[in-house]
Amino acid sequence: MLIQTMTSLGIPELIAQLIYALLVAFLCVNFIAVYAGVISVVERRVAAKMQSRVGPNRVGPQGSLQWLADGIKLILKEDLIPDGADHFLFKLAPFLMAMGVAGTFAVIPWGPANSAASDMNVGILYLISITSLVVIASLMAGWASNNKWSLIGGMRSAAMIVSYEIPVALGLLPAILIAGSLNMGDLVSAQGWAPWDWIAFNNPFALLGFLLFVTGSVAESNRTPFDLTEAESELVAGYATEYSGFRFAVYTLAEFANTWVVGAVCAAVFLGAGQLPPLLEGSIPLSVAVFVGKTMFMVFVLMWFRWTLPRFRIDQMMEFSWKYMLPLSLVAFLGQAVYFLWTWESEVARIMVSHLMVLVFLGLFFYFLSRTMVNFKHQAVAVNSYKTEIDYLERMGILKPVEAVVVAEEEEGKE
Amino acid sequence: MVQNLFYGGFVALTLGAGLYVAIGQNLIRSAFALFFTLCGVAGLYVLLAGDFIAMIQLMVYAGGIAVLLAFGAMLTHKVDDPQHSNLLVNGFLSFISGTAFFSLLFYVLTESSWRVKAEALSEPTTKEIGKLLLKEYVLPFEVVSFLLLVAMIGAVYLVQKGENQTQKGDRP
Repeated sequence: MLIQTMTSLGIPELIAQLIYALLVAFLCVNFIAVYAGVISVVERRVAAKMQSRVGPNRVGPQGSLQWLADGIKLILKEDLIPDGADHFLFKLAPFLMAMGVAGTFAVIPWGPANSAASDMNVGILYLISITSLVVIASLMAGWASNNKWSLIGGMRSAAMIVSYEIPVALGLLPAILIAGSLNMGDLVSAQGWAPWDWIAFNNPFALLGFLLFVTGSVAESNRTPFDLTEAESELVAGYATEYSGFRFAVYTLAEFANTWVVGAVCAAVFLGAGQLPPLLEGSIPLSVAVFVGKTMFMVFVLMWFRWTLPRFRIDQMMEFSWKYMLPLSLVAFLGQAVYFLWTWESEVARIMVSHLMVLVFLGLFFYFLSRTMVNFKHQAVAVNSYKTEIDYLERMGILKPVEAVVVAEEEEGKE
Repeated sequence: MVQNLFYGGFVALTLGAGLYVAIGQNLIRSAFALFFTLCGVAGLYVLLAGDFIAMIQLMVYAGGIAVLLAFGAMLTHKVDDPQHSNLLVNGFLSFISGTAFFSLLFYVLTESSWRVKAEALSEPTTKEIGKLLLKEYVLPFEVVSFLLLVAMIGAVYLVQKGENQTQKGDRP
């Protein structure tokens, strides 16, 4: 639309496209920066909630401006380059890292079908291949830092991303088979608004592909339980050990922006994107809201992984990828193909299977909810306000209130 | 015009990085420069309207082969030392192999009929590639996959053999 208005004003089409691309790139990079900042605070608050502590709450209302303070601090820090480092590669690595993450935003949709910046014919393939460029960045950073920890971190990261890329790509294949296209818009429009029209619940093999994709993506974005590359107790900070100031900030930004990429791809490819029921169809803001909601839910699931699962050992991690995830992803791919042949003739069987999948999933969800309800009851007292667990016990009458407070008031009264 | 600009950029990236791979003194930097060469080639594929092949180039070569080569370069002895750099390969042999390869490429370049201009950039190629692979060229496709399987099993066998030997050697 923007291109058409520009061409009507007399600007050649290719230049108009270039201006459009630059505009989109500008918006996406700024979105990455702001999103990564905000989500870093949100993640710390969620982590604090999960671990019954308070979390950052001093800068701004409920700590919501903490990310600005962090950003200013990081930018003001001195930009150190170690003495024995390979200066050129050391400076190049953060660029490549940011490029690999920012490049994915070209094909990520924002709600309705065809809302991606580039309606690329091979969108999903582009997404897989552009994320693999991060490998070379981490390897480069690890080598150029001239530091043992950095090198081991870079090596681990490269080995991990290369080996988890295969289950991720194969996990997407069931979805590609169902939609019959590599185009992101076609993948979105192959789904409907209801859960039984989503690709994830289309059949058991698609669900397996979805789970494999999520697990592999967590590993690819270097988050716990797969954060072997920056295991603090072993490697200080992995390939980012020698980086400081803004260069370090770029790594953190890339890592947090990756959560959006993973969530958005999950939402777009497997969870029905921003598809709306027939009554509301055509409302773009609502569609975007639905899409962002699904994406944020997936981001929350990633945080949940991060703060509830312990870190793997390096050999366990490689074994997990090659011995379990790779065979399972092959099962998902072949099973999807066989399932297609089996239900080629009967639409009814397909509808029955997808509805059954949703029913089973809902049953599991409510079972999980009933098992965890007790936790919500215990959270009647907000942990994240200034109160602690002791406060809750006091209210229940198990502990008596501390009397020192009363004494202090009396002393004030005497003065 | 813009397309020419992009063409120039990708050619410069490919040739510049390729030149660095050939004459660079630092082996690691050469390995990383190869990555940029392969990325540039992927860009050239895009300008030739080969979208699928460009993505495969990015994924397999830039994301896989370049990383493997960087790993390999890091494992070499005295990697930072210019005395042991790639300039010390036998000049005569490299001249012969280089000339042979260049003449082969030149022959292909002059003899094949190139599509001078991509007709439509956004025309999808995936469907055609799939049809060709599974209809006309299904026998070569299967032969190649069989060959790759054999190579993979052979590699696993060799690695296992080596591991057993080192374990035996480690015992006092």
